[in-house]
Amino acid sequence: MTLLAQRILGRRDAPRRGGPLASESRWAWAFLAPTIVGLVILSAGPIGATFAISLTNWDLLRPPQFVGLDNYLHLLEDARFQAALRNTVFYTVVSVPLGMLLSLGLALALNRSIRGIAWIRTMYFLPLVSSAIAVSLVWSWIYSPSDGLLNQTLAVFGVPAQRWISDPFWAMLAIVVMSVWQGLAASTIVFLAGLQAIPQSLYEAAAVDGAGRWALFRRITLPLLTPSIFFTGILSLIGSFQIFDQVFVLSNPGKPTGATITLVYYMYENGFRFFKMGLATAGSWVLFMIVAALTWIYFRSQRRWVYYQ
Amino acid sequence: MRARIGARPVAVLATLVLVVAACGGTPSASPAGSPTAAPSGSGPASPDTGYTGPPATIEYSIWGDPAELQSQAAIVDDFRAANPTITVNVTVADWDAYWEKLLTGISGGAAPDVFAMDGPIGPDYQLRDVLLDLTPLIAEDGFDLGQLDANAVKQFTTRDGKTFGLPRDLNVVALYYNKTMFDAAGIAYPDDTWDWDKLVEVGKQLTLDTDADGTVDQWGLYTETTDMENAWSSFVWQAGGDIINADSTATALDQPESAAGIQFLQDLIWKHKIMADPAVFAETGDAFEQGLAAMEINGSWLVPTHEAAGLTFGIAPLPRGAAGQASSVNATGAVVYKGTKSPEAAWELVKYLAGPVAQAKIMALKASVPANEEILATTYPTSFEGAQVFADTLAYAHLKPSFPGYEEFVTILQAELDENVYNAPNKTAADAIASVNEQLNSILQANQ
Amino acid sequence: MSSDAVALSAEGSRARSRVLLATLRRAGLYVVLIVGGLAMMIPFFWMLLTSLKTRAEVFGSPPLSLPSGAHFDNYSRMWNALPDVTFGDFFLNSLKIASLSTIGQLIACSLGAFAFSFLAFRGRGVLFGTLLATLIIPYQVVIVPNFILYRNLPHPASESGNWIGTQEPLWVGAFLGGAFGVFLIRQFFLTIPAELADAARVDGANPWQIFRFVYLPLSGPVLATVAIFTFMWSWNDLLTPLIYLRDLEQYTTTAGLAFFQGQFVGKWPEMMAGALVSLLPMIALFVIAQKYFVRGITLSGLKG
Repeated sequence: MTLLAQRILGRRDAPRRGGPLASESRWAWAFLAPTIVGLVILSAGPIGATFAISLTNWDLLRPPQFVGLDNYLHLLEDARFQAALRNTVFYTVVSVPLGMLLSLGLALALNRSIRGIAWIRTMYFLPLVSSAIAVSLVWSWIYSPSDGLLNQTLAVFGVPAQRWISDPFWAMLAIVVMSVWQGLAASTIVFLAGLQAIPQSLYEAAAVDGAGRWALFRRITLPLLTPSIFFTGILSLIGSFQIFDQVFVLSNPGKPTGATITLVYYMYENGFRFFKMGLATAGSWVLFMIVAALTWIYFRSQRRWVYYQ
Repeated sequence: MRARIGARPVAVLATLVLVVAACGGTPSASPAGSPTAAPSGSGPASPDTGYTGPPATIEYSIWGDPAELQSQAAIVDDFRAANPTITVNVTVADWDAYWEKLLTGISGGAAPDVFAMDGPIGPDYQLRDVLLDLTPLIAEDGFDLGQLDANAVKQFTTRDGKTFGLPRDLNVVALYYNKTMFDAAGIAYPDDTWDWDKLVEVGKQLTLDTDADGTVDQWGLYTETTDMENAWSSFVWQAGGDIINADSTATALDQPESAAGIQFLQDLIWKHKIMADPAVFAETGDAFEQGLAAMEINGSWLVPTHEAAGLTFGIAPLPRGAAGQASSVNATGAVVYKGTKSPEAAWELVKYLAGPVAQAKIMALKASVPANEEILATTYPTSFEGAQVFADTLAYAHLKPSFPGYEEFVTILQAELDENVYNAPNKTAADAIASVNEQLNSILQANQ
Repeated sequence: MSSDAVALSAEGSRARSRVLLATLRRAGLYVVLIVGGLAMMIPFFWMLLTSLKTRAEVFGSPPLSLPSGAHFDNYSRMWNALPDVTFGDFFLNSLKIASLSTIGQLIACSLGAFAFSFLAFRGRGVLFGTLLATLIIPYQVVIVPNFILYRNLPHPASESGNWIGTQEPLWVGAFLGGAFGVFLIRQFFLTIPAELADAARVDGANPWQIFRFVYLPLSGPVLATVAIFTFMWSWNDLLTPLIYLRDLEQYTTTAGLAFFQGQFVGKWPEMMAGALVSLLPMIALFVIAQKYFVRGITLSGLKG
């Protein structure tokens, strides 16, 4: 955020010809009117409202009664909530680094101006634009134990068939693989953009000094890519804590077990199935707090490793 | 990156406004839908004169697929003809979306006037005072509840005797068998002398690896493990156990008989190996329908599906367990939203759906067993081969458990059974039950 | 032959082998990239193949085998599965909703981004931070507050008198901006040299004119990126249509597909035909606009 501050200060110091600050401020509020209305009634307002709901026993149908922190205390004892928390953390810890490493490699491979590169990129990017429902339909088939693609392929190498979705050991990993496949392009696009923003002259200068490929990557590419890594890291982190669709569709028929339930599914289930909107919103506030804390730590860490040109 | 920021719609102004609006939106706070005021407001209604109130529009909401929408719309057509002043709009959604829509709809005060209700889930809505109490309308109309299946009526009756819905159709569980496969193996068709041992014995004879490649090509049996209704609740009752006690205050799963029923389903899969690992057909659907299984234990709703698949099949009673014959019956009913603007017109529709005209049409679809005793006793048993079995089963079928907190109860229970019984060859039903029984009891207690 | 000539020819062959090595390396790269890309596409191939098979073939043959013939009747069965509406209606609904959402996001987000990047006002940092924080909120958290609001908003053309059962809740909110769009466009605006705006100010331009005539004309790539993402999210959204839409005539493709799932359980050819058809517009849009994906983000610089 330092750059932002510099820009603000820089503008303030510059000689002004466009009228006093008050008028600029009025302009700003006019420009921001839609955003602020949206913020109040669309996102920030509701999240405040859900905090109020989390202090009640609201079941969506009857008037809510204030119950203090009961819902939060219940979360501490609820085995299903703990399973959901555990699974979501596991999903994040595995999928975020895995996804980022793969997309970084992919971006490096795709970052060249060879003939037909646009088509090659499109092949890799297609999963991103597909809807979760279409994707999950296909993957439920891939993971099918008897005639699924994965087991059939593994059988060629003599690997015995696995029960990818119903075996608690594999279930969450199966969801991770599917999500990484689908989300790969999102981070890749950001990394590609980052790579293309690196001035070619830097590489040429270093090459004159006799630097090898690895040295070029280590000394130039990686440092200059840290803003992109930071950006994709934060979006992946937020996204991974919100995992829901994949779990919802892959568990059908049936419901997520202790091995696959996630935080957002836990909220969905309690709020819309168990008549426990109070508990569901308490869960969502815990989720909100965890992600906010991680994001804050992450932002704090950026001055140590993120390099801005 | 999958956040739906772009499509996120507008919400509410402030915390307090929201909570107040939420309370104000629920029907309990609005006297408009009170059942006593409604019928008296539109003149005296004598029995069976039909609807005499002002023109009304009724939204009738059901779950189901496109085929279900067409058949329900066709059933409602006759109602439109008989009651020209009532407009009925049928809306449909798939199972999951249906309940989300219903809950958000009621909490926002925009619910359908009449909607389909799954028997077990009814008490949770009734308890929360969002369903119209039909008792006064029934009394005023002189409507005889005895014309409907007694079990099903019970599912829509509160402990203190109030009726909050009428059963629309019944789902009964029986044994389907593929005649072609039985004939090929020269085995006699299943009948009411069959017990568990016989099922396993024949199941083994019909589980075949026809091309000798080491994998089974034809399974002896197929059923679904993901809900108690398809098979395992029937096994529990056949073994002499139960799911919950009579007054819904505690589980009955911790009896050895109950565990034996659940254990039987696990054994069919992993010990006797006459059924595939549940994951095998989780994505591709019904193995019996695909001609990959010789028998199926499942509900009456599958008759049209199996017919459409071109199978030559028969229907037999479920095999007996240690405690004799047992099966499961569950009703789908129609209930009225307490906040409806036209309670009388809504009641007319509910009454029509349970009446002989609509019931005869439901029967013709073959997808469900009619709830109307008259139809059940006269035309239904001969309406297709096997219908008699469903009709007879009603005599010894147990009602699918219906109590407040049902959804939470079965989610916890079923997740445990899925993970640690049906998909876990090395664990036992008794251990799984022991690990969740206390939690299940606390859910029942919290909902008393 | 002189020794000079020998040296020359050796150098020539070294150069040739260098060229050869470079060609081989390039060919190898192509092979790796294309094989990897094809592997990524396997699920789509399977979708296409299955959508052209008969049902018996799906269960009787390996997943990636070729169909016995192009069974396009799967498509027509899927397309006409309902009595009064076709998949085409779902398509038009999706198109309308996604387009309106995209327009709304572009307007609202670019306006907001301009304020956050160009104009100075009290509370700017706090407001921007709050906006970014909303990225963290899972959608499910705000479903009920949203629903209650729409329930209480009057709507002249709806049967219920409010917004429930109309398509409006699916796109009107887009006209009130969003964190992702504002953030991305703001990052881009920050890279526009201050001198350009200063020059305009000297000429007496007000902020609106600077926005309209200096900033917007430079912002094609980033606006395209936001547009593509918005369109994609809107097109693929499943939960919102399921909650707000009542009549099948209003359904979007994703909601329609979810609905068909019930009708076509185990009927993979029809399901895959539906899934594939629902993806086509996104694939087409992506192929046309794919260069913007990268350019839009490159230019915005992604600086904190």
